[in-house]
Amino acid sequence: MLDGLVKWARGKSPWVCHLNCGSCNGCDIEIVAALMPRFDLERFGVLLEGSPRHADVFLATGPMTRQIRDRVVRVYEQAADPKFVVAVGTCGVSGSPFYPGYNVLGGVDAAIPVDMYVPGCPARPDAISYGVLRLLATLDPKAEALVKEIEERYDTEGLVYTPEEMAQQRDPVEGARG
Amino acid sequence: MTASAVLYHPVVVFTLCMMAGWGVYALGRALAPASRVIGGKLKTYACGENVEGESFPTAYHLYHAAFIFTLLDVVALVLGTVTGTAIVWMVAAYLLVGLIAIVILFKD
Amino acid sequence: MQVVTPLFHVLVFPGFLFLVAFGLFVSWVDRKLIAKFQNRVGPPILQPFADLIKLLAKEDIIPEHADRAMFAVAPLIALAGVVASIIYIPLWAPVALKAFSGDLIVVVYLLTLPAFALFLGGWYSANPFATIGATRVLSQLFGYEVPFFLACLGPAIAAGSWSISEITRAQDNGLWLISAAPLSFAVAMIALIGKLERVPFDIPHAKTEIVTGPEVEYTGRRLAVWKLAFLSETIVGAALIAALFLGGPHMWGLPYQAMPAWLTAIVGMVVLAVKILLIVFFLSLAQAAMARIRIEQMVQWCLLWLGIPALINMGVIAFVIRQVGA
Ligand code: SF4
Repeated sequence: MLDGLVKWARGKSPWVCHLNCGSCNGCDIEIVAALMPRFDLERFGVLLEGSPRHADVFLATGPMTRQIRDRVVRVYEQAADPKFVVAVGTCGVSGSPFYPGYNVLGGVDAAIPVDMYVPGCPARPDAISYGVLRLLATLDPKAEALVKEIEERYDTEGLVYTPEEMAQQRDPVEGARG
Repeated sequence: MTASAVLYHPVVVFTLCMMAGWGVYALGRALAPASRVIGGKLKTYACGENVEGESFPTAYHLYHAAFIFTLLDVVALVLGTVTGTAIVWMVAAYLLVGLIAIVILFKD
Repeated sequence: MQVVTPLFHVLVFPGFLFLVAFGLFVSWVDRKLIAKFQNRVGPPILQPFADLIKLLAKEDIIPEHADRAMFAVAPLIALAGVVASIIYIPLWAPVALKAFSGDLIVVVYLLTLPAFALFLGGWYSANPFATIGATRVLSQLFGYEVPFFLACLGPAIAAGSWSISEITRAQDNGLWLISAAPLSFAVAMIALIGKLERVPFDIPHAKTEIVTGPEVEYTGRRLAVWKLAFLSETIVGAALIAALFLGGPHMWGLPYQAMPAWLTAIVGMVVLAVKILLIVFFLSLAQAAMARIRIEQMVQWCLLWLGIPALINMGVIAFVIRQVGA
C-alpha cells in the first residue's frame, strides 16, 4: 500500500530543474512559457526548482558542448534518486544543426541518460508539458489515463519520443555517424 | 509537580517534538531508496563547478543593524520579564533607548 | 491518563500531526490563491501531501564537506520550535492548554528558532549559496525580529499581562485589541512575512539568485522537514497574531455562553481557522503582488517603518493606561 502511495506521489509531484547544456535560449524561453499562466503546469504539480538537489526531472535544453559536459554530468550526479531527464528541443535530441561542430558532442544523451525526447526548434510549450506527462505516465498509472485522453483528443503524432522510439528513428543515422 | 505540569514544560514539549520530527526521518528512511554514491554525488553543489573547500568567505556590511538588534532585543527581554507598576517607566526608558538607537542608525 | 492526555496534545492534536495536516491544507489554500491571482488553475487539493510523500521517498544526500550532525539536526530544531509553541496559544477556548506568566516571551523566542536553525543548517552545509543565504537569514532577523517583538508587546501592555491566554481572555468582552493597537497589528503582519521569509522578504531564499539559499544542499526527508517547519510556522504565527489582536476564538454575535462545552470548542476552533485563513490570504496577496527587495533595503525599511510605528503604538498604550490607572 505504501508502495502505491509513493508511486502516486512521484507521479503527482515532479519538481523540474532547468538545465541549459548550450542552448540558444529559444527552448529555455519555451520552458518558461510552459510554466506561465497560459499552460499552468502547476496543476499537474510541476514546480520549478533552482537546485538539482530538490529536483526530480531535469529539462535539459541544447546541444551537449565540450565545455559544459563535465558540469552537466556533475549536476546530474548531484541530484537525488529517483531522477529523470527530458531532452527539450531538436538540439537536445541530437545536437541538430550544431552536431558536426568541433565543440558539440551531440544531444543531451551524449553525457547523461535521457528518459524522454521532445523535438522541435524550439519545442512547443504544449509539447514540453506533454513530454513531462508522458514521463509521469511511466511512474503513475493514473497519469496514464490522462495521457490516453489527450491522445484521443489531439494529434500527438511525433510530439514526443521515448528512448525506444528514438532509437528506432535513429537507426539509419546511427550508421552514418559510425 | 504533577505529570501534566512536567509534560507541558517548554523544554519537555520541545524534546517530544524533536522526537516526532525524528519519526518523520524514520518514515523517510523506510520509504526512500538506498543511497547510491556515484561520481560527484556528495560534492558541493555550485552550478556544476568543481569547488574544493569547506567554507566560503562572506563579506558582511550590516554591523550597525546587528548592533541595534542586540541593543533592542536585550532591552525588550528585560522589559518582558519585569512585571508590576515599574512597567510604564520601563516602557518610557525603552522608548528613549530605541529612538536614540534608530537616530544613530540613520544619522548619515 | 495523566500522561496520555498531554502526550496526545503534543503529538496528535493540536500538536504535531494536526499542525502538519492543517499546514498542508493551508499551504494548498495559499498556492491556489496565488494561482487564482495569476489567472491560473492551480494545484489540486492533495498537492502538498503528494509533495511531502515524494520528498520523503527520495534519496538522502549529505554533502561530504557538511557537518553531518548539524546538517541533520537543524531541520528538526526548526520544526520542534514551531510545534512546541502551539501548546501555549489559545485555540478553541480563550485559555491555552498550558498558560503561565511570560509564555508570550517563550513563544516569540520559540518562533525565532527556525531562523537560527536555518542559519546553522545553511552555514554547516559548506556551500557557497547556502553560506550567503545563512548570513542573509540573520541579517533579515535583525530587521523583523525587534518590530515583531514590539508589536506583540503592544497588546500585552494593553491587557496588562505577559501570558497569551490572559491577553486573549481580556478580549472576550468583544473589544479586540486591534482597536487599541492598530499600528502594532499592521507591524506584526508585515514582520510575519519577514519571519516566514516570503515574498517580498524572501531574500534569504531568493530562488532566482542564490538558488534556495540555506536549503540548497538539502534533499529528500530533510528538505521535507524544512518545508513542514515553515508551513507550520505559517499557522502558528497566524494563530499568535489572531490570539493577540483578533480575539483568538472569539467572534461577535456567537452565543458562547448558551452552548455546551464541546460545541464552544468546535465553534471556537472554526472561528480561529477562519482568522488564520484570512491572514494567509493577506500573505498570498503580498506574494502575488510584490517582488523581492534587497537585504539592506529590507533591514533599514523594517527598522524605520516597522520599528517606529510599533514603538509609538506601545508608548501611546502605556501612556493611556497610566492616565486611566492613576
Ligand atoms: S532546438 Fe532550436 S530553439 Fe532549441 S536550443 Fe536548439 S536551436 Fe535553440
